Amino acid sequence: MLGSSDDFREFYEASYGRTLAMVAGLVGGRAEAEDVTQEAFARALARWSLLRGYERPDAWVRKVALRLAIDTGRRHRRRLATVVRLAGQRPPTDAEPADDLRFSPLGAALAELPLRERQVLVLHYLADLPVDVIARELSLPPGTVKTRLGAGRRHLEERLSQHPEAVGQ
Amino acid sequence: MNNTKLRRQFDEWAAPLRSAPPPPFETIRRRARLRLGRFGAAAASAAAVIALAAVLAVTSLGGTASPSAAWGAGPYPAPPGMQYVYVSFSLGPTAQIRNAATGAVLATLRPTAQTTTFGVAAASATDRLFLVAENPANGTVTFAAIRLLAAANGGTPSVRMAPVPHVVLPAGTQVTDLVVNQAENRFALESQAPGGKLSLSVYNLLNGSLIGRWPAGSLQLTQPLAFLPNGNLAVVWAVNAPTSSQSHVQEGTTQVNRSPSVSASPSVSNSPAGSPSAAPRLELVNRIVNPAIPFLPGSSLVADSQPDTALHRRIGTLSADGSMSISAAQASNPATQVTSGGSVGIQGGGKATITEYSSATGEAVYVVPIGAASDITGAHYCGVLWASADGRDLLTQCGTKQEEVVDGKVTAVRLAWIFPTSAVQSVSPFAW
Repeated sequence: MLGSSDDFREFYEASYGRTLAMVAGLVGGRAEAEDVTQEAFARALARWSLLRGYERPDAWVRKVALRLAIDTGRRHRRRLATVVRLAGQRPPTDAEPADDLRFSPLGAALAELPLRERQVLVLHYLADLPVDVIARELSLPPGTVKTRLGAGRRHLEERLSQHPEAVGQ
Repeated sequence: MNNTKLRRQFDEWAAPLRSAPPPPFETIRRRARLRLGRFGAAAASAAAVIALAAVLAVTSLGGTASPSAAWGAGPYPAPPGMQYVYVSFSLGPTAQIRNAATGAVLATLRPTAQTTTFGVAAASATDRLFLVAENPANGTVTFAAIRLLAAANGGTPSVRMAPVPHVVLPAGTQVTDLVVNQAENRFALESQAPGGKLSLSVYNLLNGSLIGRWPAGSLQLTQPLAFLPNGNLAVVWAVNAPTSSQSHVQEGTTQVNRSPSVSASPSVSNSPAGSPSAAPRLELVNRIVNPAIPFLPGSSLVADSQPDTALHRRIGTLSADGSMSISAAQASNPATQVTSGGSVGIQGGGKATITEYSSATGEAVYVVPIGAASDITGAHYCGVLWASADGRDLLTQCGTKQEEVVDGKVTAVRLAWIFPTSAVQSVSPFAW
């Protein structure tokens, strides 16, 4: 079952980065995102014999990663809150550390959004999913997804405006 | 900002991640093997999409929990008294109470309403009560109490689960912390409303009445909530401190230095690119709230709380008797040095260390290494699993290594499970 299935390896290598970006948008930190993403793919590998028959195994991985990310986000939220506040205190000339995505204006702004808005923004902009697919994956009416997307954009813009260096990048 | 501009901004932000080379395939295969090894056939079944969320709970149960000869299936002696574990399958509507020594299932639980899943959980100081948030499909948050009732003849305890009446948090609310008082008649929670606002609430556990709700406003609540033995609720928030070289520490506060240097004092350094000398400081302010004082709507957390001058340092989770605070750190990596509770992150580098601070003096009483960098795999939990009421007896795990730490002295032990990292993602890092 856990043999080095070539088609899984191909799937893994092709979709890891995209999944990682999506998870990072939800959990904020790169290390946590890598842990969640690896866990999601490990679970996929454990049942690859079933998933390989799916039309879109990436949707399964995405769903698992999403749920794991939400759990991780709960755990780290308190620590994140402190760190996010600090983001605004950083000199704008500082380079963004590669493993501290939450220090970037967009990362900090995302982390401050309520989960339901962050979720649809991440699926739309980082997983590149259209509204109807997001609605299906989250079991929500498309209208609700559109509403959350609109509110998320608005709230994101409000928060990004507090970080002038981020606007118009 | 138009949609195109926002998409471009997301693309720029995500570019380094999308192009990141995936870890070697062997890493994934090893994790998958570990899962199969740990959970056996169940993990590979159709219900495999689960994350094991666990709180080690335990002991007493009216004397029924005598140290079991079954403890320590492995080659090591078992810690005394540890008996029951609350296990929540956070990706499915199932939870279990299990014997922590043998893994035997005492009870299988389902949420109190259909189409609901379990969320964040907390255990009481007696370990006879678990409080668990429930997440119905409509997005609201409700709560259920799970009580372990000792059998009259000292036999196997029974489990009773009932919803906490009337407590329904609005759809989209995230519960970020949950604690039960020692009398087991109140609970406090920190939550984030859909608009992003944080608040602290205290409820009557028996009838669900709201005792108090305070908006956190701009306060950064940074450490786990804790009920003290006298019923007061201990909270800690951070304030920005002057960036000058300030060595004076005010009563009831703890300075949090963002310098990347390794130090025995706690640090919230997540700014490796910043200049250490110019790095902003945070100061942790210890406050206590007395829920017995009538709450007036519109009052603030600042107005309704008092400085807690008895606590000289609180980093991490407070022991049930309030005498110790316990934190986990990864010694050579200040970026991960302070965690919100008792777990260590996976950023790598340095050994994992548990530090116990005396509340009376603020001094570090014990500094106990619990694992090397190689033990912090990301797959296995690293940190405190359980602690006694006075905080002097800890059960820890780092990687596959499990230990009991009594007054700083370490003994290897072996529990029924080696807890995966995902085991503590929906719960307080450890429960009392």
